[in-house]
Amino acid sequence: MSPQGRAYLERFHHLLNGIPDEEKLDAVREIESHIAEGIAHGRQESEVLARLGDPRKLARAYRSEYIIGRSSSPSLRNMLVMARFYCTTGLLSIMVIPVLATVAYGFAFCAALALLAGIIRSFGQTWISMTVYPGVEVPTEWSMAYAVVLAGITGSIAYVSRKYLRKYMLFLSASYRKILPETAPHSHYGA
Amino acid sequence: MEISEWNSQVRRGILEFCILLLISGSPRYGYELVTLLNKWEPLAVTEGTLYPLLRRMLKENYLESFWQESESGPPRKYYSLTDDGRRLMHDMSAEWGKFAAAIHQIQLYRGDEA
Repeated sequence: MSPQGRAYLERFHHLLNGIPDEEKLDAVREIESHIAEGIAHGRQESEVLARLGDPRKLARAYRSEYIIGRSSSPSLRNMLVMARFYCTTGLLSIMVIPVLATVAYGFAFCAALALLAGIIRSFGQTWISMTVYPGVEVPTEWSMAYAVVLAGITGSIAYVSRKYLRKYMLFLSASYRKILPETAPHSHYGA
Repeated sequence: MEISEWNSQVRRGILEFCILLLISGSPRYGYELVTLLNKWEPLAVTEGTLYPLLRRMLKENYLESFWQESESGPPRKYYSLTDDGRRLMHDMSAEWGKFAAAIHQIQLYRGDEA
């Protein structure tokens, strides 16, 4: 098989996301076998690939059949697995996600505001007050430096929160995906 | 309605029936099925339709599959009927007979008399 054919299969495999690995591999092997069969029957590889069509369309057709096949009545065990997932990870998310999101975006907003205030105050606008302790004003010429320090602190908090929010979301999708294949009837694949 | 659109609507319903019939005699593999179906112009099917459809019929437990080495080239994935598939094929055959008779009568008499 030419690099072109290999590339087609790799792309097809990549696009089959959401389908369990075992079935994915089986589908790719079948298409590989189909291409080889076409060549063995004296056809051009490019012609066989053209007939197979856009790998995206092919993968989409597989994925939609997969979802249809999966929707057949979930067993009690699968229901319990789903229930456990929503009661633990799901409930935890209700608290974790809003807190992290508020902290991340709130502090990012504060950092931007501090920088803006620093710039405006540097030009001598006295209606912005910067104090280290109550009663101790920051000198005008130090406004920018003070604003940068302040923005640095709030910005880092925002950055860290956002990073953990992202990590948590990724963890969430990964664990969600992990329980999904269990709802599929494992039958005769890879036979 | 374009004739090609009508054809694809009609075919969608009978493709599964044709596949069941084609593999009821002996197990067949995907390439073979595409080639066979393309012998009849109104049944011509693309790989992009056939393979996902085969997969669904496997899932629905009408077909089962097995890999087998071939003397020329790569292993082939063969499909054969399950008991459910054979039952479905017989049911479809009976229904198809009724359909064909009904259409035939309508074509002949236009509903005037039977």
